[in-house]
Amino acid sequence: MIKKIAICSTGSSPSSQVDERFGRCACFMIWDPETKDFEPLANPAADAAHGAGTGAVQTLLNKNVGFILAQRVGPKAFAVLKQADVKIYGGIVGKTVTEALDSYRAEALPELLSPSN
Amino acid sequence: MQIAVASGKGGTGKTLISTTLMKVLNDERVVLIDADVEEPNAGLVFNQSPLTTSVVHRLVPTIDPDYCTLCGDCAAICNFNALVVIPDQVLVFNELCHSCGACVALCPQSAIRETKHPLGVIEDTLVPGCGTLSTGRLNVGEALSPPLIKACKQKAPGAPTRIIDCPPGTTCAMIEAIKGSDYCLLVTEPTPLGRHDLVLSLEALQLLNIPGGLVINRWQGNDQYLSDLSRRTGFPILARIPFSPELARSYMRGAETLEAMPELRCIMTDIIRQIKEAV
Repeated sequence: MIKKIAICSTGSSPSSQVDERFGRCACFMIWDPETKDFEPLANPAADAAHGAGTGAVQTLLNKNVGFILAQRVGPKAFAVLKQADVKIYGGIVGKTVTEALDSYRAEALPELLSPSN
Repeated sequence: MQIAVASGKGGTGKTLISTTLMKVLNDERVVLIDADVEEPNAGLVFNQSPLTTSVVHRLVPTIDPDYCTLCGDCAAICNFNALVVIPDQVLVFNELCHSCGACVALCPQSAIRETKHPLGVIEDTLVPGCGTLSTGRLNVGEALSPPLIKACKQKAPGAPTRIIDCPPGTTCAMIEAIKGSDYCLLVTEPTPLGRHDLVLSLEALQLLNIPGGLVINRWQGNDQYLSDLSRRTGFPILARIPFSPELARSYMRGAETLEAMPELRCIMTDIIRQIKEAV
């Protein structure tokens, strides 16, 4: 099964602004390369007292996500994503979800190689 | 008798009051518990080396990969996101775990057992003429202090007087520290932040049904707001410690506070008298 792409978003529309935060972003916009469609998924970990990052990772792994577009990823979430072989790309500040995805598909986003939060 | 010394806002003088109280009580059976385990500092005042140091553990899950089927039940039940199931294993984040045991109880394969995770230490120090100081010290990187605070409070249950130097704030750590106390001193300062956090602390005492009183530190005369608050809530003002740069300087050097401000002895004696009357 082809891995999906999750974009950290402030809202549930493709025209929403991206959310810089990973673990506490309001919503994940999950793009399926097969159907070429977005599925909005409210982030259940957004308001967690502890472990928002690890909770968000579990949510995305359960959805078969293999790529994440986010700006700031904490050390625990980063460690899990690395172990699970999920790639993270940054450089999305100021973009909408669609713009971020277009940049990713144009291979214009830098891969995040270390935790950034 | 167990006396908690709390504040809400940090830096109002909890440790000053706790340690001076201990000195003035002048009884070797007194135990001072430094429950501000993230930054314990009562030990600095007495400048004695600990006699014993004991490690405090809590239980965290360990997964047996031979039995785990990666079903994900443990991660789904965990309220604290301490477990993450990735395609080939379960990752455990001990620092997020609250030791509730739900994953262990609910694993369909019985593939999880509990193992000990060190979260900090308790240092016992003898303070000549004053009693014993038990200092809780949380390991760097640990997110949860209440289990260590709980362990600290199990020290010397039979001591005639136990003083708990509490952590600031009104979160779980402060609640754990004041819980079960016969009386709580709330040390405050006449600043907007001091007042704001004092109100929260008073609510905590009311919820836990712990009698308490206010100690105004760095008092500079006008305390209309605090007097009104005291009248409104029924928590008496036990003492006003005047603002004194000499006391602050002496305290920072680790020198004798009772020499820098001799009237502190009377103030403390009067606080003790009022606590005894209230309890």
